[in-house]
Amino acid sequence: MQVFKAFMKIVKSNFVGVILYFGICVLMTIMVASQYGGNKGTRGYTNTSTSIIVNDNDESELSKAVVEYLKSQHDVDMAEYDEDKVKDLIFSAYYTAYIDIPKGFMERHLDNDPLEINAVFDTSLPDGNYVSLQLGSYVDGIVRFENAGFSLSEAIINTQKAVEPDSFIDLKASSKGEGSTHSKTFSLFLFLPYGIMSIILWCLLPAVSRFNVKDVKDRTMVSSISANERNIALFTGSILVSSVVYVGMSVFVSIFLKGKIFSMKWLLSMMNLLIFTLVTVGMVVLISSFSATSILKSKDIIINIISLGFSFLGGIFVPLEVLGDEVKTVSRFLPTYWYALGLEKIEKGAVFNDILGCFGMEALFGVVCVTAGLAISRVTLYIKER
Amino acid sequence: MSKTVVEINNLVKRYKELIALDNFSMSIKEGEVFGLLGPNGSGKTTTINCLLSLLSYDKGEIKIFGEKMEPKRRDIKSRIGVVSQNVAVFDELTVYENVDYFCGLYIKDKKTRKQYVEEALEFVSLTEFRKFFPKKLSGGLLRRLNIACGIAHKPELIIFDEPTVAVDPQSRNKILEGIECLNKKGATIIYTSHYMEEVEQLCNHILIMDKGKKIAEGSLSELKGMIKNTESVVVNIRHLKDENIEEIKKLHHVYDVKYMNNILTIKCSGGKHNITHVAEYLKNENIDYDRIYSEIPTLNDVFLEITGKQLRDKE
Repeated sequence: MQVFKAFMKIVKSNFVGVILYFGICVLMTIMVASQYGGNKGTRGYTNTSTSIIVNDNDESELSKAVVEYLKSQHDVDMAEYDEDKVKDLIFSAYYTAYIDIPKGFMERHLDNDPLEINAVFDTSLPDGNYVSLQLGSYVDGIVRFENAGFSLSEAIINTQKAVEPDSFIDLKASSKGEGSTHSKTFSLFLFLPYGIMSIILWCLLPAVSRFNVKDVKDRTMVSSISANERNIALFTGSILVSSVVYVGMSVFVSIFLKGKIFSMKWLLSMMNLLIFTLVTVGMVVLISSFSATSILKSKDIIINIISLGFSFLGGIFVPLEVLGDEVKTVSRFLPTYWYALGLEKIEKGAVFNDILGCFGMEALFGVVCVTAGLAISRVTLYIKER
Repeated sequence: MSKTVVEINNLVKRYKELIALDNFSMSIKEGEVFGLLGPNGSGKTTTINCLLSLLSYDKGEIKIFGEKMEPKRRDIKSRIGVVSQNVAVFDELTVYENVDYFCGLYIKDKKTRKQYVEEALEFVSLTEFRKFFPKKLSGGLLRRLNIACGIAHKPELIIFDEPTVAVDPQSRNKILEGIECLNKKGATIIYTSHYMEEVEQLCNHILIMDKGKKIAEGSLSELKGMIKNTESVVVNIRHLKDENIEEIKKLHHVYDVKYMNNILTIKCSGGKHNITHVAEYLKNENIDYDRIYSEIPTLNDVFLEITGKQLRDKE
């Protein structure tokens, strides 16, 4: 307990650095998320709803489908007004548009002699035009599906799916190649390893190294606590600190993701991040197996080289596609590469085994680090004894 | 008859071809201040590390408080305190927290520990610095903190490994007084140092080792009796002929004469009236001198005569 308490006190003494790295991480993530930010546009688009009046004179399957669609997009009042009243209501901005579905709309549609839906709106304002475009797109969609051989009922269902905001925006983004094709979940999770590495290394490396300074270690070892007790205390402290950093980062991301948490994509990304956090603890084990005094003297350099180097080479700061083949060859030996690749696969909805493969490679790096760290400690002890 | 606190029998420790400890044996009685001396590389630190089970050894036996010392003997370890040569404290913890940490490795009860920590701080006069971080302390205060960390749990056997390196005379004096005080309170002390006057002042039993072996052991007077030089007669003379030097060499009990920078040093082995004989000779020869005095050998002389004068770090 004594070792654990002292360990936590040393970690606490590095709090300013933690705040600094967390700040950098938050800033970077926000900037990058807004740069990728395809979803930001999506929200603005789908949330545009206005008040409109619909008059369904046909009350057929087709007209009812049109009314339902409009209701799903806007605040709809069902009413019948004369032309002057409609103009008054639109001019006074009570309503954006008046949609009048004529009688025989479905019958004429089936006879390939369609009747036009009468839409009254202020052509100088965007909202009315927007409603009109939506209406036109919806009806066109039904026609296209019918032309493709679907029945009217099937065409209505398919069109309804096709005009759902998410699929529409995704299609638009990828076809035009504007902004990122990645979701916000991907964008936010991609930059977390930098923060995780920086903060965990900053907290743990000096603390563990301080306990490994020869004279301090010797003084602890000649006391009445055993080497195992000491090591367990240090390990528990490291895991606790890493967990706090992991939870902190997760909460930070979840705040930005709002409604998208607890989705499969989110859960897998969280698992990916958890494995990476544990791998970082493994890196601490490896680094701290070297001379504690040297580590304490050059901890800033070590932390920055590792966190920045791994982030640049592993596809965190630079997309994996951009990295050259030679760089990728090196990157494959870094956990950040497998983290980014795993995230990419989660994003694309790859099969679970594929994603699991990336997790495994990441974890393998951690296992190698811990094994190498323990081996180096053993060899150092052996050399000291001989 | 006082109990044996530490007993080392025929200890052998090898580093490849180098034999760091060569059938080394020593015994420390309860209440002793035991001086462990030796030139660099003589095996002092190896002995202490083996004693504390920080280092394994190839052969031999170590007993502390009458029981075999092993790495897992926490009961024995809890009765030992170590003050290392290098200051072994946490820079991130305050003076109080540092002492509390090391004391807490032995004393689990919070109330008792608090009392012990306060007493240790009081003992090394660091109470007013309790909230300071080590980086804010001077060299002397740091050394005192190092001592407080090693003794706070009130050990029965305390090992001081060169505790006064690089401290000013005032701090050194304070540290030595503290060690004497600990000994008076009943602690057995093992003290290593290269400052012979400290060992002379503190230790009532001294062991000199070299090349992993015990060379000499005993009380200060016993050690002094082991060397050839029992007295040095020093005379300040402005002019002295070579023939006079040769004649002085022939005086009774004289075995070595040196004349440098107007100082004549005559080393004698045995004899009770050496200074009188030298003075008489100078008077008879009408040789003027300013001052004549006698020096008894110091531990430093004993050490140099026993271990030799050649530099060890070059070996």
